[in-house]
Amino acid sequence: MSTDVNVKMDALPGLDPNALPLQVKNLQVEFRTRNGIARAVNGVSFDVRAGETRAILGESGCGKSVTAQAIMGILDSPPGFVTGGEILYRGVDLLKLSEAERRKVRANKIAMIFQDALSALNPVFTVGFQLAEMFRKHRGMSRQDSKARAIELLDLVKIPAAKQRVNEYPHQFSGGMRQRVMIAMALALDPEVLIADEPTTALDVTVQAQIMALLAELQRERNMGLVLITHDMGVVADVADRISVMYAGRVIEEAGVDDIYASPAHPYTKGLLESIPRLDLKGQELSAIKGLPPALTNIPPGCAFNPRCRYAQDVCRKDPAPPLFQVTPSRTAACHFWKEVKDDE
Amino acid sequence: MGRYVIRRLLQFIPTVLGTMFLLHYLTSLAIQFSGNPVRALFGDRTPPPALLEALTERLGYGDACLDQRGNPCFGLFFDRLQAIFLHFDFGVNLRQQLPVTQLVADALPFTLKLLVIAILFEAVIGIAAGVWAGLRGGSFADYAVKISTVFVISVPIFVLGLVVREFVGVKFGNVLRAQDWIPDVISVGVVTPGFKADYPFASLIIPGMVLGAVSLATTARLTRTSIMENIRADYVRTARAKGLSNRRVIGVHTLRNSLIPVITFLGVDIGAAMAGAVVTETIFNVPGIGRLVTLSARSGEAPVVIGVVTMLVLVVLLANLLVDILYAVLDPRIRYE
Repeated sequence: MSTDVNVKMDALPGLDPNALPLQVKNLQVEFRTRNGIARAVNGVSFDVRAGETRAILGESGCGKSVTAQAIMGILDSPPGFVTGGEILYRGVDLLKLSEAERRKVRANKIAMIFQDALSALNPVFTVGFQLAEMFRKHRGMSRQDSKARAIELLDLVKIPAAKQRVNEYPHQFSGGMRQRVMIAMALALDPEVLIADEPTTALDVTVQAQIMALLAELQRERNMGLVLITHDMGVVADVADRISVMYAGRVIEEAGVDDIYASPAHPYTKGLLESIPRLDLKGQELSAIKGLPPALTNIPPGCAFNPRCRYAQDVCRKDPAPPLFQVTPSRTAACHFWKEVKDDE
Repeated sequence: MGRYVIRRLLQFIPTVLGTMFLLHYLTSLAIQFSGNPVRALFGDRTPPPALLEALTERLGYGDACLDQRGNPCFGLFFDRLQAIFLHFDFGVNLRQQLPVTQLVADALPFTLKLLVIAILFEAVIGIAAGVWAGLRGGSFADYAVKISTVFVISVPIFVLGLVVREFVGVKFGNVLRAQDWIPDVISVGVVTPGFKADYPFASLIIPGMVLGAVSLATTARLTRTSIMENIRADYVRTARAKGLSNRRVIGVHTLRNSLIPVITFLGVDIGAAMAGAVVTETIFNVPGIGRLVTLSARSGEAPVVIGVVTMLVLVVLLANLLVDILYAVLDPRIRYE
């Protein structure tokens, strides 16, 4: 276990302190199952600056969580395999690192929190043990020191009576408090990028707002890059700087949050925005996107969204899938008719 | 927790009394149907009626109810309870007229050694094989463990015991004993068709392994399933995301959770191993509790059977209680109130 402490982060080959903390380029992930190969992530690219919040938006099964797990290097493999692309941490391609070096990047530089904090915390160890473990294994600290640090962390995420609660087990915490513990654990080693995979989905609305506010506050204090994976448009509008919308394993639109909300340039994004319940349209039927996302083993030819799209023409039903068109210098959309969609009210 | 333990201890009382009455009734029926066991002391000779009667009375088989078929002999039962609980007097056996307490004290060390060997064998090898197979689901290791355990589970312990005694103890032993360079501890002590007083520990190793074999297979399969389930758990993924080494992810975060059902099984299995010891000790001629019960049941020595089995019941109950307490230590979500 001594190697944990000894691998020096500075020794990463090609580390460039001025490069972006996280850059994903053309990432490809496939799942090799008995029913065929599922291309869960198909050429996803995005980046995160320090202090910036990048939202990744999409329905269940569009590849958001798989992207996150691939970045962390915790894909269940088999069946999941990263088959192409680059994941750059400050210029270093994580996919080319040895397992030991990769492990050092995890939690130290890029950390992650999960959707369901009850199942994501180990039920048989105290919260304090699970927090202190980070300092003992990564920093070689003593039991006593690391426990003191664990209490500090619980204070940081505003858990009352941290001194007592540090000795309790996850099942003794409420849902919101558990998610705070997860956040504390992810922030233990002061990472530069935090990936939050649907951090508030399992919580009720008031607690959701508290958790998001806490995340935003901690992010500001630490100038940390945040990748927020979610399907909740409301959460995104409040905290995100830039948004990547994913559909069937691809990014289909990428833009600043204001641009997307003002004038979506992809029919799918437009559909998502129209499906948000609005107070001023009270009493009218809620609009929804017709149909279901395609099975990843059976993605339709051309644009994957074409069977559900009201703008679809023949060109959309033929391969290749539409590339990302430059809508403005700072935004892209993968739709042949992005102009019409954008100008359509 | 304290209240829970006290309540469990109080529950022992009806269990023990019930077991004792059942044993009492069964042994009484045996005597009522097959006759006075004291006559066996005289072999083929016919004893003078006065002597037989005096001896029967003195050894505790004189109650008139033992001549009436089907009579539950409540009076005799209460006399026995009184002797056992007030005077700690379990009675004597027929042949040497030794107190049952002493017979048990003499036999118990052998059975305990046998049980310790069996439980250690099944826990260590079973868990190791289960973890090995569970981490490599679908591989050769996995199939090897799965198939070999099915073989062991399907063979009853008395068949396994006899086969091992014949082929390992006798045939393979003879080969070893023909070689001068092999020390006697191994060729005579370990590889033996039966218990040897000269090697009180070595000669119990093979009987202990036979006794543990069936449960070993179950332990291995249970561990395997449990590991395979837990390795996909969210908190194991979290442990990986924390940048912990693979050894720690498996050895600490996965194993602790996976062993909870295994420990439960091992606890319950102590009772089953006691039953298995009766068979194993008889096959390998070990002078332990199991053989004592077998022999005294055959000769109709009611006080010995009742005394020994009652003590065994207590041991099993205590073992189960210990396991339940251990269970709460392993899994903090369990609280006994």
